[in-house]
This record gives sequence, structure tokens and C-alpha cells, in this order.
Amino acid sequence: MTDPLLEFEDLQVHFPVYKGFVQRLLGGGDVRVHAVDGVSFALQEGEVFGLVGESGCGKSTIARTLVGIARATGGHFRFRGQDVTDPDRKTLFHLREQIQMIHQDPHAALSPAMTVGQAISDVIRVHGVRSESEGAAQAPSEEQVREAVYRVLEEVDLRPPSFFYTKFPDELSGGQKQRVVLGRVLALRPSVVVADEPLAMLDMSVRARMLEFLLELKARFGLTYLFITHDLATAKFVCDRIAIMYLGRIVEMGPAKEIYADPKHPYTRALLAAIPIPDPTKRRTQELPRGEVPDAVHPPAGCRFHPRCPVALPTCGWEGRDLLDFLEERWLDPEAEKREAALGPIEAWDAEDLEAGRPVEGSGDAEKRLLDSSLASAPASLREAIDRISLEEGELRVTFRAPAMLEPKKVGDRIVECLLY
Amino acid sequence: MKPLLEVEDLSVTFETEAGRVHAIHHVNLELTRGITLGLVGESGCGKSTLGRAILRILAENGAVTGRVRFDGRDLMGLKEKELRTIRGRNIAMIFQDPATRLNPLMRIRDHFIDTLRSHEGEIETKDALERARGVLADVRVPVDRLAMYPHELSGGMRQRIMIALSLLFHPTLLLADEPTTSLDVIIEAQILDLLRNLMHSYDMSVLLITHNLGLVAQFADRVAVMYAGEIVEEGETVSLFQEPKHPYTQGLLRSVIDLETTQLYSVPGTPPDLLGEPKGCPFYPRCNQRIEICKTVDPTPKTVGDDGRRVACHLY
Amino acid sequence: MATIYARGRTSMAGRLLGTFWKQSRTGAGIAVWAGILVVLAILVMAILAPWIAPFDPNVKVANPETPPGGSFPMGTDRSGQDVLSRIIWGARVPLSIVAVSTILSLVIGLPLGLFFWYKGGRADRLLVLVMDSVYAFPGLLLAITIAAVIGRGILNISVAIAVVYAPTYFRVIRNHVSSVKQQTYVEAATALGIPRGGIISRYILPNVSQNVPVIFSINAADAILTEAGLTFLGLGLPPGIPDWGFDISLNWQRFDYSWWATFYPGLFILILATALTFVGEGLNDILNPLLRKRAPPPAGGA
Repeated sequence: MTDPLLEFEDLQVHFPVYKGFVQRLLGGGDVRVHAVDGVSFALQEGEVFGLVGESGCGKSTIARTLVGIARATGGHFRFRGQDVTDPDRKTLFHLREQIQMIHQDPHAALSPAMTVGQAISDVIRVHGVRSESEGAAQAPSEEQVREAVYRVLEEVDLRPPSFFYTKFPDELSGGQKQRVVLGRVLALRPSVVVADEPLAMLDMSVRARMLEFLLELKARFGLTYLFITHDLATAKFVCDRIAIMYLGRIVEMGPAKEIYADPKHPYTRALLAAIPIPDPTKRRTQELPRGEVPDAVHPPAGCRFHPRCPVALPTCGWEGRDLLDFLEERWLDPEAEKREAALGPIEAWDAEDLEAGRPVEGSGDAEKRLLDSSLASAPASLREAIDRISLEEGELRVTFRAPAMLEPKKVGDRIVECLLY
Repeated sequence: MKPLLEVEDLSVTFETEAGRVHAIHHVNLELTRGITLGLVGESGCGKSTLGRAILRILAENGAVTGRVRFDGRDLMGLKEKELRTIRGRNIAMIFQDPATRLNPLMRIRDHFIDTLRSHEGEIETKDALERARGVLADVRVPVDRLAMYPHELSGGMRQRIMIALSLLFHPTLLLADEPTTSLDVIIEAQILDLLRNLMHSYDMSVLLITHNLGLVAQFADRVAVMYAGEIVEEGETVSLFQEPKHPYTQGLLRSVIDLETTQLYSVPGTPPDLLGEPKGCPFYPRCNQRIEICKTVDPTPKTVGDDGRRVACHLY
Repeated sequence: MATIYARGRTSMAGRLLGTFWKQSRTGAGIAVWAGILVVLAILVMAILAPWIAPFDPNVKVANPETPPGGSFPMGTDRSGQDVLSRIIWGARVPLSIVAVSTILSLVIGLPLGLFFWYKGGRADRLLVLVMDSVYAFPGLLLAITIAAVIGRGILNISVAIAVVYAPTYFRVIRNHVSSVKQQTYVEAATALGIPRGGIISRYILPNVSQNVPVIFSINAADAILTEAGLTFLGLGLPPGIPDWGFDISLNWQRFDYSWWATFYPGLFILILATALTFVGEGLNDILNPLLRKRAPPPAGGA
């Protein structure tokens, strides 16, 4: 197997949460958003690699790290063998000639005050005119720049170039703008193009056209694509390999067709089940995972998907917070809430790591019994993950067992991060 | 049975600096009680405008002609004051981006109190909160969210709260304009499941406006397809998806990329400019089955077949 | 949908001018034109003073406090000087002070506002603190204080006024930069390898400076009033130079006897300030809808 064009090794990208002046004075420690929390994969030359996940999973952050807008806070990022995790200005400049990005919203990606010609020629002037031969570029003349822009416009099928040269973004349609963005990027003749949801803002009847165009450009210029999307259907069609991301980690990765045929990770299965199929005779039968994607500042312990996973094991990472979530959801039903009023309200509870507890009056036996009975309707894995329920120091306390170590495992032709395997 | 909602010969135009935009052109639509109708179309086809026209919440430069009968009463003939009692009570609407629809300076509970008071006058705070808790339970939102501000909640949660607000007065019709477009696919599925349950428990009909054909297939009993301000085809969902009759519907269904797609297809051309009076069939320039008459005469919807399908096409 | 104002125009300035031209017949357009014409008229008057003023403004030419009429259409003041001549000559000082000070404010405030993008962080926060403090100070009071400290002279008054108004530019530009900074196109430009200097000048500045003409005009209007206030209080001007504000201070106590000597200078201050305000507000009405129209339309076809 040839060396990968690009690889990430345990990449971490954390962002500090901005705390106000006063809040910082009052302490509160180092709070960060764990946007990307240990991601490893390799991109082979010429492939279309899909990065799939919902919002908050970290795929956009990876895109931004690739083009140098976000900086890695841990791990390694290698391009053509060279370590570029923390590049200096010069390295970054040249790296940007190799790795480029197109955005989801082409209108937002173009300065409203610049014409198409100005936008593209600016890039060309900064980097020099790139030709098919990899010669070093000297400062190009105005004539050369204009020629280069015309050439680029032809390459992205915006004909005649002289017509589009003077247009402002708000005079173009969505698809045309997307082509301008593509042209601007192609002017650098990059090897890798990161496409961040390139079809999301286009109508269904024209997405196919843009997709075909992207594949055509790939063939013509020998590009490698990192295709970022939440649309699994498109990813299945266009990608060779895909990685499914959840809350900063890759949960499943492998050849696209196999993953769709036989999804292994419960989250992958949930995503596939949730897609609304445009066939009214095929209604969804599978249960959806509960809840929503939790926030990336304090991700769940162990496997991040465990609170929502329909097949979670006791060792998947159950902790204090999960008990509180369970009680809160249980008490959505007014009957249950009334019956277990002695255990509520939810604000009385406190959770920290593997423990959760609430202060009780007197012996607390009544509360403990109520808790036991309510836990009877809890998911079995949550129940079995409880180490002990104790009454000490005027507090009813629940302690969970420590979760098992979770690591990406090779399962057949792919990598899965799940204790089920 | 008398239909719940009848849109008759509705046209909407907007006066803009560039001229008059014909957003909706002689549209006819019917919604029966207990049925979900999916109104599907791409951007600029006029579906959102239609939703707003029904509730008469169009922008100032919009002009409406035609009739919209709700439960027999023509909404176009009503005065603003009477309309306001229907809006929010009998007909509720939820929108695409709940973040912009909720006041960022008001806590959630204040949203509920405010809504209740605007429709029912003086109402005790604790009674208002009691009703808020009731609907929140129906949308599966924990009560502690009442004390929060909109920006502290996730997108899915905000949409549930929007739905809860619209349920306060047990509307008979819910207009949902792209309610899940800005949400992730799992949350989207959850919300639609929720809407389906609520339809039964509240005995409510839903008009779902969306560009997502998958949603319509999964959720709606009947579908109306819009193009360039006109309804080009309408019928039972299952039958329409299996046997689309209008060339645009056929093209649209072919171009959808789903898990079974093996070949890409897109409808050639672009949607027409809505400036100026429409001439002939709006799909004419892009149609691969067009005939001479399509260029000059705008087809009127005809009933085709025997399962209630209506198509606006000269081929039939 | 093509924006008709942009037909054939290849620069943003061109587009704005095009819009401006198109809007000439609207209320806002008329306001701007009216304002510009008045300001130009006064400017011409000031430039041509040596040729059009009937008398030397500093010389007693008739009995003091002669009512308007005859060879003195605006009468004479308490020193017997021709009010009309003093009005004509008196336009020079306010115009030059306002011109210098508003340009100075722009030169100080705008780059500092842009600086925010460059650095952010602590330096920026300090700057904001300083600027906000200056801004919070009542303008006239601050101008007086500075003028009192740095001494008299046209340039010094200009500096004093410039300091008062620089924070306005700073704040508006900085807020604008703040929102533009987050914009995708700035990020895209960075990802494309455009150096920071280029980003500021080609991507941020053009998108941030649309408000400048408006601030400029409104500042100028305000500066006229501040300048009049300063000279009224006797600060800044060496004696013997006619100035509207100064004339008011000379004559207001005799208002019951020679109202015209106070009235006309006051009237002209008002006219000039109002004209500049018209220009500013009118420009605002014209430019802002254009900018709002450039907001992204909903998703479209290819």
C-alpha cells in the first residue's frame, strides 16, 4: 500500500470557552470544547473520503484544521510524510497551495464587495500563476493574471469568462457561486480539496449536476476529496471510504459500500435508520435513539454514545449524569412525578463523575425504596452499571462502576470503536 | 366531508424594485380533516409564500387575490381583528428556524405566559404555567427548561418548544414550514414522530411545507408538488411516488439521491424568473415531454385516474 | 436576479454611486442633494470671500448697531462692522476646522477600529476602554478641556474636536469589523493563504467602510456645533479673525438692541449643521437598503 497523502494521528482540537472577566475571577478552571478528541485516519491519494456525522461531531473542525484555520492542540497531522501539526508561516503558506476547502454556503464564502474577477485574481496574485508544470511562480503581470482567471472560469464552466469576470456575488445563482468558489480554489491547483457540505444549499433537482461536476474536476485535475456531509445517501454514492463521527471521535470507519450494507456501530445504524426514505411504502421501523447530541464541553464518559444507545452495555460508561437524565425523563410523565415526588425535584440532585446523590432527611429509607422501584424501569445496562446505592452522611448516593477501556478495534475491513466488538 | 381548508384560485404578487414578482399563480388546494398534506417544492417555488398567504402574514409589499376557506369561513374577507383570533388558536404555524422566532430576551416561561395572555386576556401566572407544563409534557421537554433563555437550548429543544407554544389552544390545523430543515437527521426524525403522535392526541391536521421528498414520503398522506408558483401535481402519496404523472414530478423524483441511487440525474435548466406575467406552462423550457401547446397555454389542473390525482399538464 | 444598479459597474464604489444616482429622485436622494448644494454654496462663499464681501469684516464701516437695510443687508454689529461681510468671512474658520478635525478623526479612529482584527485580546480591550471613556465624556466639555490645555489656534481646536469624535469612528468600525470578522469569506480568504495585510485591506475594509460617509457627515454636523461652542466661549481663536460662534459671543448681550448681529451668525451655523445632517441621514437611507439587499438569498439552483 502506498504512503498516505495525508494522515491524522490522535488529533485533538480543543477550543477554550470564553469566560467573562468576572467569571474568570471567580475561578471555574479550564473549560474547553472538545471539538475533535482523538481522531486518527489516513487519506490515500485519489480517493474520495467521506466524513459523516451530525452537527457538533467535529467534522467541520477537522476541515478547518486541514486548511490551517484551526490549530491542533494535540496529536499529529502529516502531509506527504512531513509533520505539519504546528506549521510556521512559510510552511502554512505552501501547505495551503496543496490543501484547499470549499464551503457549504458559497455566498458567504465570497466577499460581497469583490467581483468574481477580483476574487480569483487576488488568489492568483498572492500565490503566483500555477500551470500544469510545477514551476516556481514569479510575480505575474496583470495580463498573465487576467489570462489565468479566464482559464479558471472556463475550467469551472462559467462561460463566457468575460461575462462572469465583472459580476458581483449577489448577481449570481447558488450554483454559479459554488463554481466561482471552486474556481478560486482550483487556481491553486491543490492536491486535496476538502468539500464541506458542498450540496447542502442546493436544490435537490440540481445537486446531481454539482456532484457530477465535482467528480469531473476530480478526474481532470487528479484531486483527492475529503467529503464532509451529514447526508448519508450522498456519501454512499460518492465516497470510497467513510468515517462516521460522533462528538469528536470516529466511531466507525471503512469502505463505504460495506458500511452501508452492514453497519456495525449502533450510531451508524441509528443514522441510517433515521434518513427519511423517499419511498412511502418503506416506513421506518427501527427505534430512534433517545435524546440529542450532548455538548462537547463535558462529553459523556466512556463511549460518548452510551446515553442514547439502544444496545449499550453496563461497561459502556454509565455515570452520575446518566442517572439524573433518566430520572428527569421519567418525571416527564406527571403520574410518575407525583409518585416519586419525594425523590424530586431534579435540582436537588448532584452528579459528579461516577457518583450521583441527593440530601435526605431522616433515615432516607423511604427515598431509597422509591429509587429502587424507579430504577426497575431503567435500561438494564444502567441498572447493572450501578455499583452500590448507599445512605451516608444524610445523603442518598448512587455509585457507578468504572467503565471499560474503549479503543478503536479492527473488525473485518473496518475500524469500529464499540465495546460490542 | 367538508374540507378543513380550501384554497381557491389564490394568487400572490410582490411589488419589488425590480418589478412585480408573481410568487403564486392561481393555486387550488384542499385539506381534509385528519389528513397530512405535504407541500413539496424547491426554493423559490412559492411553497412558503403559500403557507404565509393562508395566514395572511405576508410582507407589506405582497398582494393576495382569491379565497382561503377555513372551516367554511373565507379568511380573506375577515378583518384583522377577527383573523387574529384564528391565527394561533385554530390555525397555528411553526417555522424553520426557531432561534429567530423566539425572543432571545425572554425566558421560555415568559413566552408561554405572553402567548396565553395575548389570546385569553388576563390569566393568572400560575394557571399559565400550569398549561405550559401540560404542553411541555406532550412534547417531551423537561419542565426546568421553562426558566431558561432560548440560546441556552439546543435546536431540537427549541423546535419542540415552538410546537408546544402552537399547541396551547388546540389548533385544528398546523402549518409547518420547513420545521426540521435546520436540524440533524436523528432529531428531525424524532420531531416528525412527535408531530405524528400529536396529530392523533390533539386531533390536528398538518400541512407540511418542505423541499425534502423523503420527509413527505414518510409523513404525508397526500402530496402537492409546486413549481414556479403553481401546483403541478397533487395526489395520494403512495400512488404519486410510484406513478408520477407530471414531467417535473418525474424529474424531481429521479434526481433525488437516496441509498439506492446508482446513477445521477438532474433536471436540466433552472427554475424560471418569477418576474412578469407567466406565459404558458412554467416548466416548458426544461420539459422533455413538451408539446406545442405547452409554450403558450398554461395548463389547468385536471383529475387523472380514479384515486384523486390532479395534474396540470397538457399531456393529460 | 440581477441587480439593475450594478449594470456594467465593476467596482463597489461604482455600484454605490450608481445607486445613489438612481435614488436621486427619492426623498432621501433629495435630502442628500439639498445638503450637498448648501454645503457647496457656503464653501464657495468662503473661498470667494475676498471678492464678494462688500466690506472688510474687521473694520468699522458704519454706526454700530445699524439695522439691516441699504448697503448693509444684515446690518452692523456693536462695533460697527458689517454683519454680512463677517458672515461671509466667518465661514472660513468653521469650515476649515470641521474639515481638518473630521479628517483627523477618521485617520485616527478608522485604523484603530481595524486594529481590532489584527490583535483582539488585551490590547484591544484596553483600547476599547480608552475610547469608551472619551466617548462618554460630553463632547463640548472635553473639547474645552483639551483646547484649554493645548492652547489657541485653528489647528489646536481641530485636534481637540478630532479627539472628541475619533471614538465614534472607532466604535462603529470596530463593531462592523467584529461582525465581518466572523464572516465565512474572511475565513475563506485566510484559508486561501491571503496574508493578513491583504485581508484587512481587500476583504475587511471594503465591507466595513460603507458607514464611513454617513459618520463623516454626521460628525461634521456635530463638529460645527462644537466649534461654534468653543469659539463662543472665547477659546481657541486668536482675535481679529471672524467666526460665527465668536460673533455670537460678541453680540448676544446686545440682542435686544441689535438682534441681527446675533441672529445671522446663529442662522448660518444652523444651516450648515442641518445641511451636513441631511447629507448624512440621506446617505444612510440610500446606502443601507443596498447593503441589506446583499444579504444571502435562500438556496438556489445551479
